[in-house]
Amino acid sequence: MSKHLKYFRSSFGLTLLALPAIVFIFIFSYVPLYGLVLPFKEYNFEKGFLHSPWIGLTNFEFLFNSDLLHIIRNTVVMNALFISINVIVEVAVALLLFELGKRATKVYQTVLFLPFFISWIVVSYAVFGFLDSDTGIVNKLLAAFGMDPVMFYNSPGYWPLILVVAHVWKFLGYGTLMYYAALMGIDAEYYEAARLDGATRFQQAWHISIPLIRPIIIIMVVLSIGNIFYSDFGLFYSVTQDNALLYPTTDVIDTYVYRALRQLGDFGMSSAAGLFQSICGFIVVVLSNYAIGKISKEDKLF
Amino acid sequence: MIQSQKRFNLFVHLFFIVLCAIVVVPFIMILAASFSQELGIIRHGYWIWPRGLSLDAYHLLAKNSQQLIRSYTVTIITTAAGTVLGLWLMTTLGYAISRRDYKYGNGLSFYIFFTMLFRGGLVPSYILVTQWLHMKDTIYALFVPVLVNAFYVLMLKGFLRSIPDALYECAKLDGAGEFTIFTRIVIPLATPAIATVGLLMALQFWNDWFSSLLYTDSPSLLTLQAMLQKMLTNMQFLSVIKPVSMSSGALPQATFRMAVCVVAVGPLLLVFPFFQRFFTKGLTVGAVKG
Amino acid sequence: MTSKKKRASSALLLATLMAATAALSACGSNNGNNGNAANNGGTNNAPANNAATNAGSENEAESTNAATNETASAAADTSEFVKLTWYILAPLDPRPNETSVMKHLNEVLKEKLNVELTFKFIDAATYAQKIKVAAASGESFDIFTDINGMLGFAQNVSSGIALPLDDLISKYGQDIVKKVPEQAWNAVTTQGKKYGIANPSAWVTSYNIAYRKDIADKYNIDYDAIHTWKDLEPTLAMLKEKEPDLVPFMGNMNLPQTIDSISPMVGYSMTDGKWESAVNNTDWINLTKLKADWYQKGYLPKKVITDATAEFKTGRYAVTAYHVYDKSFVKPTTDLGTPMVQSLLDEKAVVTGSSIRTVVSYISKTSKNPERAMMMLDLLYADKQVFNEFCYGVEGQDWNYVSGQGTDNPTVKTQDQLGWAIWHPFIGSLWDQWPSNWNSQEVLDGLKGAIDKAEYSPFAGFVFDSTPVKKEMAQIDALQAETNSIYMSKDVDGKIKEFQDKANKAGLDKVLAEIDKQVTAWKAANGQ
Repeated sequence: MSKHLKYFRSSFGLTLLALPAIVFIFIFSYVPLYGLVLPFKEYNFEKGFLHSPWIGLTNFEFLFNSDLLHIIRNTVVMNALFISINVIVEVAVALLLFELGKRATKVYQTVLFLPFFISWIVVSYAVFGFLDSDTGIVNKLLAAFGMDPVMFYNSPGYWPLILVVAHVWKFLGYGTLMYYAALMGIDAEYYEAARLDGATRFQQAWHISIPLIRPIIIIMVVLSIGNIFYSDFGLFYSVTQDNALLYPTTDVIDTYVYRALRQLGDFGMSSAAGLFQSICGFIVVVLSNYAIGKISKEDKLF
Repeated sequence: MIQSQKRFNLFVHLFFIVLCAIVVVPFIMILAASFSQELGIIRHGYWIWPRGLSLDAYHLLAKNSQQLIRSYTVTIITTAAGTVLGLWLMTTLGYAISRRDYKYGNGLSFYIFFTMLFRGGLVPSYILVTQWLHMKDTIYALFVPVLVNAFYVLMLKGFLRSIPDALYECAKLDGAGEFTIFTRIVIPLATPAIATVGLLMALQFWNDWFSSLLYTDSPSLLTLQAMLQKMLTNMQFLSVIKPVSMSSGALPQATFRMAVCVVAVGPLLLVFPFFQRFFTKGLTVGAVKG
Repeated sequence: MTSKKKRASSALLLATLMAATAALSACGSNNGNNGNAANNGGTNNAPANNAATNAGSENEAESTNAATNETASAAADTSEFVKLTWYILAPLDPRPNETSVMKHLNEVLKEKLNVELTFKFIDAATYAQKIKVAAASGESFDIFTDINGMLGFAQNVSSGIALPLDDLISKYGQDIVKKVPEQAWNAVTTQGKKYGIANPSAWVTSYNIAYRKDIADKYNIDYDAIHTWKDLEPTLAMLKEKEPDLVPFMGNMNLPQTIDSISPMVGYSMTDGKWESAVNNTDWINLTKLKADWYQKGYLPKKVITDATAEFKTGRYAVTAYHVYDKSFVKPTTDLGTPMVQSLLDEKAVVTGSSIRTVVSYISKTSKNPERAMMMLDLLYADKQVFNEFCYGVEGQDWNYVSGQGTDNPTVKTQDQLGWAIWHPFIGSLWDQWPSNWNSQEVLDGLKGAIDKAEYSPFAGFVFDSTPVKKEMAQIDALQAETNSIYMSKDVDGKIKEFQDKANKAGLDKVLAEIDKQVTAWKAANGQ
């Protein structure tokens, strides 16, 4: 007991420093958590959170039907693709950027960041501009080479690739920036020593840069895994133009919930879907955090 | 050796030029479309060059120039205030939990992470902001509720982990308090990381339209993105309710959408270099030690 | 040294920021305070108002309101000045003239009802969310409008936002009663109480076929003789052969209006005479098979169309479908950007519960002044002049008389660049609209004529509460999007069967049983 107290006292300065933010999180994130009762209630505005009747798991039921398995599969597989491809591409680009002089880096970074600003709705028009079977640029090029036009919007098979490309395109600048900043924080002495030992650039990247930015890579990946059951609604809804012919590969949990509840507009059911996605994500994160701890205790997230 | 390095650099530059070209082509399409004639786009599709030059979309935007200026002002103020205050809060917390000798670090990390996945939802937040904190229709509602972003705190933790513990111990031996260590050692050493998170925060505030639409009513508190968002959705709606009203045939929908995009991206070119100033290599541990 | 300077300057920056924030928030919070003051005022007034109402009903002789006194509505005491808030969908954005128009309207309202009205215009994207969240958190507002069922009638009642209106209507809403048809009240009545006002509007849509004029002229298409999809078929075959660069038809081929639907997937079919899912409906199956046939023959575009109007403007199509019939062909010509001619589809038109509920005005349970809110709504039905000023704006600034100034039904024209607009049915009756460049008298007559000819669905007054089967309804509703592209399949019959099975699996039986139960109860309650 006194040992705890003693530690508390000795670390008090650090706690005090962090306290404002801790309080902030408590007020704005923990206080509203009473809303988590919503999925278990038949919500009535007049009765409010306290007095609306409990209805058990009824609000969750619409998510479960054997016809819906492909939706969960699409969500998880597409997110897994996004996470893995993004991390590889972004780290690689950041490493290359790190090799260059300051001025060039600034220009490239700014350009790569442009797509981050463009909403998915606008992206959907750009994609349409490329892929439309009559006026699309891709089909015009195909025609120029004497090939038949491809009906992209009728063929679900192409869409995992199209969505991955769109996703990488939009977030490349964002992710790269983060890994680049992490590289910035590495002590230049490491590289000097390595150069004196005659290490090549590739060796420097592999043996110094990547290990030293590993904490950031792990954090980014683990945090994205937490959202693996959530899907980027704008991407899957707008970019596919909510085209039913593409559902076999593009229908995900969020687009399904949107369609199912558009008419009913039920608060309880939509929050039930959200809670379901959170709990699944939470389990996956706790498991991966545990696995990381087994390999390297140092890198555990919590 | 130097020869090969030059060749390597040339190769990397080439790679980035190609990459940037790929990234930028869709954007050029958007830019070209915003200056096109509506019918030109519809007839012939999007292209990297305007289909018949027209400024209709920008005229439509300019029609609302008074609101546009007001919205820019609100957005700039919330972005600046939110970024500065948010950075202070997040960096202090991120620093504390990054310290390997801080026993509450893991517990606090979980405390933070938990809020990323579990949220109370819209109604409790709305009640909190409007009825308990009385922020409805004030500028505070636009940035105070989102000052601390759990994701960025955890990211800062990752960045700050690369500062060696030995530094803190040296400082402590010299009699420095936690606050001094934070301001004198952590902030200068972590400038690129803090600038990165600052940039991302700034973008978050810049792009936010939802808080403005939800928490405010007066036009003086309508943020830029909220205003653009409103104009876009109402234009779409116009074409849905045609049977009982007027014709929307003349509105430059397609080109307007693109002009909105251009207006929203523009400030990036100003904001980016500001933050990039802090991306300096060579602010090393050695420099601080010496 | 440098770091010190830096810190000093950043401290300065911070201070400036805070100052700026404080300055801006000062005006913000002032607004807030005004709002609060108004609310507090409202609270304080509430007992006084109740007293006033009682006094009013006891003493009917006194009348202060010129607009509503005609029909001997209970005389209302409007001596207390109150503020009203009205949540409504933004019909136009931006509205540069909003301040001046509202100033003018509030002068009129101050004189007639002693109220000040604030419209809270919300855009479509956040409409349902914002109103539901405001209501759920107990915020005070007076009137709200539901358009195209964005909020949903049954939901408004079951979630407890909507105030029952019977007393208020009988006391203060007699002008509304005169203009809203008897059957329409059934559609907003449930459990024996009226919960809203269904504003008269285009309750039936006149589907028709629209042809590009140049094509119609070139091939002498006798469009006046084409009134069914089958009639159209030879024309499409001819176009397919003679105009290889054009796709003969593109557009929505709507179902005959024989379904009174409670969701996009479930409804009562007047053809089949029973409640069923859309994929079991005979009319739907026939139309889908016809579309499949045309698709195979190449009369329809190969690709999926998401925005039919924009797509038609590309000039790659000859014939399309349109949703308003205008004898002068002006409306389709403007909308589709090329000269068009039309022929009306010869289909039975049915007024259904959901079509009546296209626009419904509600009074909120959180309203502090429901009496005055009802008077406000009544005024918009009673006084055509005020009503049209609400919609068109201020004379001279937003619109001008074209003819008939001083009469009850003048023709007007609005500015080309609108600075203000409210679509008439959002706040009152479409038939009280002064003809204008928005809708000519001819178009209005056409729309009204279609309703007069239309049949009312036997279930127009039935309101289904989906709460007991919401899981099943959600799963069935989710199927709807995919049923639209069934016609593209090579094996249409198989596909239709597949979706019928999916609907069954999602619990169609349970939904139909629940409907049956509620219909029986409804019939019993209405003495049928």
